[in-house]
Amino acid sequence: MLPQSLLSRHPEEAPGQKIIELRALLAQKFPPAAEQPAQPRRSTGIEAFDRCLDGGLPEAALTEVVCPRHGMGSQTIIQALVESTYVARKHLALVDAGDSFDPDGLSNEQLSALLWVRCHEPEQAIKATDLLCRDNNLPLVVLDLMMCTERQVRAIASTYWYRLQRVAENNGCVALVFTPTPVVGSAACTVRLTRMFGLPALDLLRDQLTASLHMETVRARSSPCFGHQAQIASFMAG
Amino acid sequence: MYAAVLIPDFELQCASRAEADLGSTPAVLLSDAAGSGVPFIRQSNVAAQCAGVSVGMSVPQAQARCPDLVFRRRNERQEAVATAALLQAAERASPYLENTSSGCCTLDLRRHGELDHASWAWDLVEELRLLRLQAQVGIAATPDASLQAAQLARPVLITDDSRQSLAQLPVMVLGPSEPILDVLYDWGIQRVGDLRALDRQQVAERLGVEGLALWDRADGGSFRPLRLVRAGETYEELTEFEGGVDTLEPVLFRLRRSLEQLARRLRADLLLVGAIEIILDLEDRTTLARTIRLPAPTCEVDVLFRIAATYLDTLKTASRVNGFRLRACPSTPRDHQTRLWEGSLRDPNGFSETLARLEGIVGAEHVGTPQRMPTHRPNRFCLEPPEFANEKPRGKPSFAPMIPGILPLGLGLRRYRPPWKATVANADEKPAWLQAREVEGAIRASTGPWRLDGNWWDRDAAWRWEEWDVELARGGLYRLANHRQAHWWMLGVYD
Repeated sequence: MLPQSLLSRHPEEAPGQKIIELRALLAQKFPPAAEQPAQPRRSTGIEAFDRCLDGGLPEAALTEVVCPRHGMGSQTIIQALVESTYVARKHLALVDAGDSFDPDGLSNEQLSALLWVRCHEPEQAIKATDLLCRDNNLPLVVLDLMMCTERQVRAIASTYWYRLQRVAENNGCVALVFTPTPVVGSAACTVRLTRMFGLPALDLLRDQLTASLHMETVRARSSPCFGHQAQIASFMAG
Repeated sequence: MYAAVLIPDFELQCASRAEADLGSTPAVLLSDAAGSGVPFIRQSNVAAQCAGVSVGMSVPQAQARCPDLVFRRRNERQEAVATAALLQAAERASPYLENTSSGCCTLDLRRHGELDHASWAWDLVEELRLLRLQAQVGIAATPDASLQAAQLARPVLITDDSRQSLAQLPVMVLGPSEPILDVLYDWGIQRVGDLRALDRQQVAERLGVEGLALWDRADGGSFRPLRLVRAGETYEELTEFEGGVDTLEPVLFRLRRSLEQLARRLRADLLLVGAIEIILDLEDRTTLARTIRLPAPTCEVDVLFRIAATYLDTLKTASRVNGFRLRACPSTPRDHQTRLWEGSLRDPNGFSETLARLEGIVGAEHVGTPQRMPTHRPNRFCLEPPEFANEKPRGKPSFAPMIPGILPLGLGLRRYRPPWKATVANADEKPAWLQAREVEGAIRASTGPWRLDGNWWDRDAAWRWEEWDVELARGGLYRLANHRQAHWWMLGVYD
């Protein structure tokens, strides 16, 4: 209900003034998201990626990387993540929905930081990701849906993504999802890879490649507001 | 002082040890008569004795007196398990330990002057009770006297004057042979004190060497040396089901109880469970064994149960389960100090449980840490169980720079498993057009061939092919393989 001071104004008062006052009152009652403390970020160790993500992957949230076509560098990002995870003395879980990860690109020492879950269908990958996020032992869980068709990815119920967001939020887990098309409605941040690499890219070092990745931020949300949105959306979805 | 720990009706207790509700139920142990093979009652519990069932009766006689009587046969494997538990419990007080007979051990406590005998004996009885063994402990000046005291104990008897204390025992506890026992009964000798009241020399003249030994035992016994044994370090519990089971619930119910007992035994020895070995005995006479290693050794039953139950939950057996054995591999507590910047697991056992669940979803061969095989053949790796909890300090990553496939060069490859069969048209000895599944088009640029071969010295294991990296005119980078100049395969896509 509006306060009496706003309701009892003289009818001849300009309506624009009322709106200004109403906005001021709402701003006072509900500070905008921009004024809230920034969501903590976890650096990926990939400079271009961190820059696009405003400092790193948001903690306790989902991040979606959309890679519309192969050849844009999604697998290169995964390999670089394994490498940087090894350097940071952490561990990483890769849920590989298409069983396509190639260990040949990394040394055995680097691979020792990786838990690889080789799935053969999206349903297995979804269950595995859910388990790993709930387990909360590994700081980063990567779900790779790049070898799934768009139809398979779109067939994943949207409620699953909201549920996964809640799990990540409750456990403080960082989840990164690679998809061929944007489907993760509950992602705190969605970035899109935009550059196709050509044959000369095969002669570049991985560091040079990750530095030349082109990506744009499609959507970025701050977590405190988004948490409520996710709850409402989850509730509406039943 | 010597202590004797006696499990009365040991065989019956072992046969019914795994059954929770059999303590108050009348139960007897059957044995076949030597000549006829007709079963008779060899041992009976207190409830059966109260119902009028006594040792030596035939089955119909016993059933006539107690219709609800439960019959059990000897279970030698369970007896071995119980004996190990008994010796381990006793050895904690003294390493001078003798496995006197089935269900009975004798300890030399003379070197433990500071030991409070009464409290130790009561603690031991309680500990064995939790292991589902009803024990009696007798402490006396000689091994034989302590054994006799144990037979008289309810459940603990400590006696300094063996003669007086043991005089009321039936003469049978001295272990006479049947002919000698008959003679003693004919003489009206019912109790130990009655035998000791006789003259030693007269007894020796009439009953010979055995009679003399009996008299000495009745007199308190001699200081015979103990035949020392060491309690084994095997921690095992055994469960058997009557008729087998095909559902998980009864297995889980017994599993938890077995884990409780194992954890109790290990905790008492100041050890932890480092691994659990589950051996399922199936109805088709096969066994299914699995060892589950715990990243963080523990004795917490809930954790152990969750890990074991997760494994069983994902298990499918070819036939019904007749029983299972559970072995705990002892481990000392971890003395690993994590480094300041080291990323250790928050809950190693929880992680192990999650791994087991993941294995249930995708299969055990599809979860793990990839490790490349020592070969330059591409796509050769194995999955090893992740060692995140007991990780060695990480050093600088090393590369083998002479092997092109593992240099941190170029876009990452996404492999097709298995590779796609492809059709390739060449122009100027280079791939010019490609068709494989949904990928089709003209090839704009290509590099290669990269010739790979290996195991040339072994005709069966030899391999050889040429690899090409191609870029389609409409976009997309692929790796192709040409096998023997005949078959083309699409190995993967660069991404």
